[in-house]
Amino acid sequence: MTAPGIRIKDLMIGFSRRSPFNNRAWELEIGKGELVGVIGPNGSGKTSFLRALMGDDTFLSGQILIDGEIGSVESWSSKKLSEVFSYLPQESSFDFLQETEAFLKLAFLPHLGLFGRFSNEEDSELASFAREFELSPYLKKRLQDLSSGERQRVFLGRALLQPSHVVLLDEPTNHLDPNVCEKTWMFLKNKKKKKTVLVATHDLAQVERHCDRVIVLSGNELLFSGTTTEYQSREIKRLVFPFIC
Amino acid sequence: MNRKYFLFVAICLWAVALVPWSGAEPISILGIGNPKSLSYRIFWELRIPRLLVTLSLGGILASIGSAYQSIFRNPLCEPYILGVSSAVLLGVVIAETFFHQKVGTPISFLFGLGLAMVLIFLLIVFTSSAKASSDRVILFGLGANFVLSAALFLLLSVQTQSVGGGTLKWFFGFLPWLEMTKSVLFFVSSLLFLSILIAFSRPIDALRLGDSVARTLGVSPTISRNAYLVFTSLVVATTVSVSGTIGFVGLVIPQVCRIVFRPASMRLLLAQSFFLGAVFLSVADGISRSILPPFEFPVGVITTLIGGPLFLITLWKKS
Repeated sequence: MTAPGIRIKDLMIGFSRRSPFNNRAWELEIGKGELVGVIGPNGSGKTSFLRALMGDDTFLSGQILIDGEIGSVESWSSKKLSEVFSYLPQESSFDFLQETEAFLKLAFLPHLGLFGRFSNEEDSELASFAREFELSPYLKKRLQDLSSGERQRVFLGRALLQPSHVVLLDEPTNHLDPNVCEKTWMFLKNKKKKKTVLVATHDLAQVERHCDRVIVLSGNELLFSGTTTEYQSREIKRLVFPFIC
Repeated sequence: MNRKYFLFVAICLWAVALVPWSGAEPISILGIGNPKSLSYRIFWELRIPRLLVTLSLGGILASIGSAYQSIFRNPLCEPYILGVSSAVLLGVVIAETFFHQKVGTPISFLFGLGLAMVLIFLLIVFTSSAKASSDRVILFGLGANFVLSAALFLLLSVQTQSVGGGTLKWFFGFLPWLEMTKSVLFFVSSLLFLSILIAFSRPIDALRLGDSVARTLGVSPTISRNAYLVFTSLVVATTVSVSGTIGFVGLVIPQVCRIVFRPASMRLLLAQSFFLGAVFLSVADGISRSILPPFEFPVGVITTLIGGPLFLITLWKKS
């Protein structure tokens, strides 16, 4: 399967059907292999949207069709979910005592064999990914011995390493220094397997420079979804961030 | 808002005002003004003093709790959970056992205070490092509480001249004498239990990353957590009904395994814990049978007195 396109119809988000977050249902489409920036003020619904997209607790109703034919996410088995989505939460939970390598290996958890053995391919994939993502020096270190920024890279690495088709990243560049931040965006842009990537972020400049598509949220409503060129030409960000634009 | 607040305070005061009237002996309102009546004596010499004591204790406990919670940035903190109260208790019992000082005498108070200070000193040492998380305070309290109550148990055994007999043994665990066939069966079933835990351990690895991420790792968080909980509780019920509560093996062994062996997965952690826990308890049993033969100290006292300090040391070294 190549990276799927995503079609979202009549999406309502929130925790209870009686009081959903949004008044108007969301309709939008995301092309195969696109890098999508999800932007909006604090509390505008970025995290709720990403979670709803993978049928998690903020999903209320609607249809989310991945590649059209697969069917709507909320009816999927957990195995299927794991093949399609990988997710980096804004605040990651983790085990302080765990070593980086063991943590990264969790990316292959859905695909492990009966006795939980990692195949040689997975081992070498992990090693080459760690080199590419510059995580090799941390592999044998415990998560508690890394700085917040280093740890964030490990968390991000786990989400990217997971063999999924759609990657949902919630503020992935938190704690990252400007260099690493830029490298991360380049990595997302040049991703090899043509994964579809959604990034919730406040990094407006990077979104304009690297993303194919921009989704703008405000007050839990979908304000805009379109190509980056459209986004720039219609000066959308003035509406959402008037103070700086 | 202000009116609601006022109303709430009024209800509280009314409830307190009712308290002295409750009790085994009914008293009359008229009687409390008459110094010669029984009601007068019950009211002014028993119930009002008692009320004043309860009011001050309740107030002190709650306000100290709020102070502790703010100091340690953890909503679970209070003197009982941190072991400060147990330390005072142990001090008081030491004074009573070895120096025949009744509860409430200055010497007894000083012993209590002294032990509490020792504990507070340890707590300060523990939480002084920059890396100390607020969870560590709770772990410290847990460890301290276990050790102190094991020591208390030993002292009370000395005081009453009997070692953990009767129903008391349930609190600190004991090891049953089983016949050969039954013990083999017991051993085999424990291995079976371990293999089931291991076989279904993969979702637990994923759950550590939070429920949302676990879902994207192919795990159904609620189902796997609940299934694991129910299954393990069944086994807990079986073991406790055989041996009483044996403290500390479950707390200290996994921590030591994680720190020493650095297991890469839940599977390995389970296997290592099983192994080390088995060794630890057998050694503790050996010790419990050879301190004062033919007496058998409850094995839980031994595991706690060895495991507790060990636990606190590993916790301390971690930073």
